[in-house]
Amino acid sequence: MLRYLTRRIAWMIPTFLGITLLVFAAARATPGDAALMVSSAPESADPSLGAAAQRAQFRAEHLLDAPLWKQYLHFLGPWDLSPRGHPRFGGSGAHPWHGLLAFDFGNEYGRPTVPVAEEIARRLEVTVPLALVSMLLAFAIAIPIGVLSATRRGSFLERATAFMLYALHATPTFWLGLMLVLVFGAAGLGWLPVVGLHDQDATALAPADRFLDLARHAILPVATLTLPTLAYLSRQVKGEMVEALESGYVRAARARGLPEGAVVRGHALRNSLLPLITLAASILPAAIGGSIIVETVFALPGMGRYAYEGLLARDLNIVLATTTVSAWITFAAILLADLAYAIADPRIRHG
Amino acid sequence: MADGRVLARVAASIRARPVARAAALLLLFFYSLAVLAPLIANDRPYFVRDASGAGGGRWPLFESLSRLDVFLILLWFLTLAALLFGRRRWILGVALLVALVFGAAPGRATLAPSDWKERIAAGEFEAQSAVFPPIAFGFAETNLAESYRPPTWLDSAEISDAGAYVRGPRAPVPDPVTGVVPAPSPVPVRAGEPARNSPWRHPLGADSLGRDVLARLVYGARVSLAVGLLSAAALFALGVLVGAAAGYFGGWIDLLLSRGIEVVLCFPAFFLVLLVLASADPRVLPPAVSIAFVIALVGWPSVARLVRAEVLRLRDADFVVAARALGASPLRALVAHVLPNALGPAIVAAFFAVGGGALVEAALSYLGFGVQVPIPSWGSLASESHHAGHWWLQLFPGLAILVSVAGYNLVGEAVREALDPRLASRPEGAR
Repeated sequence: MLRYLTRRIAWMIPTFLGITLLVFAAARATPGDAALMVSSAPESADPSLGAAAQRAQFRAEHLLDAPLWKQYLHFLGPWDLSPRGHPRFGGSGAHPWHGLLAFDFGNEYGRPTVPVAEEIARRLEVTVPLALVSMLLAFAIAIPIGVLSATRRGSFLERATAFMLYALHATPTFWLGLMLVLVFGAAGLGWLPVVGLHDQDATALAPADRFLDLARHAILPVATLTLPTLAYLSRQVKGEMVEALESGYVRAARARGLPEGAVVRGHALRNSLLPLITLAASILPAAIGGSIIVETVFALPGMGRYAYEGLLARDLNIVLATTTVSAWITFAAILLADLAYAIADPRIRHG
Repeated sequence: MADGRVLARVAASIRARPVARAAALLLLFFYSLAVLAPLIANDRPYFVRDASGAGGGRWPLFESLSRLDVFLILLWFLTLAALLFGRRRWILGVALLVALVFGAAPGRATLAPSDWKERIAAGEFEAQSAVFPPIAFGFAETNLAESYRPPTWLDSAEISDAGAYVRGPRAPVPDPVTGVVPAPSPVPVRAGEPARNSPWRHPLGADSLGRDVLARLVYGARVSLAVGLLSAAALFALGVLVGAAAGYFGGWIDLLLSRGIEVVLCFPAFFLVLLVLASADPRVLPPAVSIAFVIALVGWPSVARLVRAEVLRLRDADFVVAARALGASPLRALVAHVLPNALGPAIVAAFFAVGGGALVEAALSYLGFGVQVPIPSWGSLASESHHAGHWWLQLFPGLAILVSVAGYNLVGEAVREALDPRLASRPEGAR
């Protein structure tokens, strides 16, 4: 087990470097001069300088004209290579540490007083609970649906659910969100709020009411994230269950005279759940990618929305940071899933 | 699974399943709409006769077709004929695929609305003899007096002579960008268009500029379907290339490529797509093409993994060893003997990627990274207005996406059952 663990973690390092290289290459290829945006943030610049000089100063500060390898190393850290960076690399020493390894992604271009890392931490408080709750919900609903569709194949109920899930699987996430807004929002039934996480006067509420308010606001975004995942998952569960129910060990269990319920729960289901561990990890990238859409539809201040804003503003710091953080999260999830799989399945642990 | 029989097996598998057959016919219908869009929805008449009485006439719609459109339409009919009667149909199928991909961006010539309706109204041509297409609106033809008009079969869409809505509480909604409420103005009914309050005038409503949603939906099929197809084709090619190299040559090539696959796989694909797309230059590549390539760029690893596993499995199979013993070079053994037998799962995955690509395109369009105005795609249509009062703008294009993607997936299931060796040994209907 320990050997497996160390090998798995040792392989993380090249993969991690690959991720950073890919992010950096993609972000650097983005056209448009970020320095042109600076004029929209006048407080950052020295007013005595002209616009062109301000831009030049900005480019120098953010290493935008430096050779690519230097920019990459600056992004990777942990030393700040900019003019006000680490003294060992010719900087003034005002800000010695920077980059991924120092957990410092620099400040926003548009709001130079806001560190991107802190803003991301704030935004993750929205995105991560949303993703986790929707994934848990998806699993909690998909497993019973999948089991029932596998054990009651051909029944009307099974066909009806299969049809619904099929349609849901083919639905664009943003459109699902829009339709939910149409039906449950003010223009339709008027049951649920469709914008933001809180009502405007929520700060005045008691904690319990405040939580209730949050829950009401979260219903539609969570549903939008959950339903497509649910459709995908339940089809996978059904497939695994059908396979398990037709396998030799289930026939053996039945031959021993076990009641059908015990066969389904104790034998077929237990074996079908194993592949779901890996599935959970592969769904997470989709959930994080989907957060861009869901947070845009419902105007939530999450990380997906932040990445989108950064992309629109051509803010290299935000783009690099959000992409890297989301890749990290996925990467960690895959690793966790592999470990969980190894713990659950002795064939891998010893093989 | 030797070369030519793949298609026969797929076709047989589709034919054997009523649902898959229905889905395939539906897709055929959508693709017909896409190819024939200029003939179905256009502001130019098929034919008009001169008013001078000399007996001459013009064919404005056909004159306006770009060479590409003509090529596409001819090819489409050829393919249909070949599907019905011919042999060697797959050649035409491939040709059509290529043509469709390049047809993704409607030609510049058809972008601007024409003045034919005005010329007919001015008496230059005989109004009675003007023959218009079934939908007498161009996809970029505006009519500001009908801004955000609901589907015309609804009571709430009835408009008075002065241009105000007759019934219902529905006031004209302010423009989402400018906040301006347009003053009612009389609706001009141009030559060839259905009457002002005819239910057929705008069966699916009109958008912010009064463009007909149905006409835009028909044209939008071009981009949406072509992006799905092109992305799946590119993803398949890239995945097979990398997967075959990694599986067949092994060693450090495999190590390197497998790490690469892992890196791309653990990316939230959508972040990467947005990132790369932001750097694509619309002057170099049409947006529809660059979207498709970007989707392929993040999607290939899943295909590569499948191909790699199959190639690894077959590399030392008896028939490959025999081929090598008979003097076949490694490359020839790979291309002629291993690959044809290893592609089944990859073809299946690519089939499902068509629908996936269409979904990604829709999401990109929603975020404003899609095709440029005024060219419509289903995704960009559905996201044109986020106002809940404009439900028809959101509902119908979304339904089109849903139905087409479900169609791809249903056909994909049939393909899977025909080609996936893991299923061959499994009892019928096991997945």
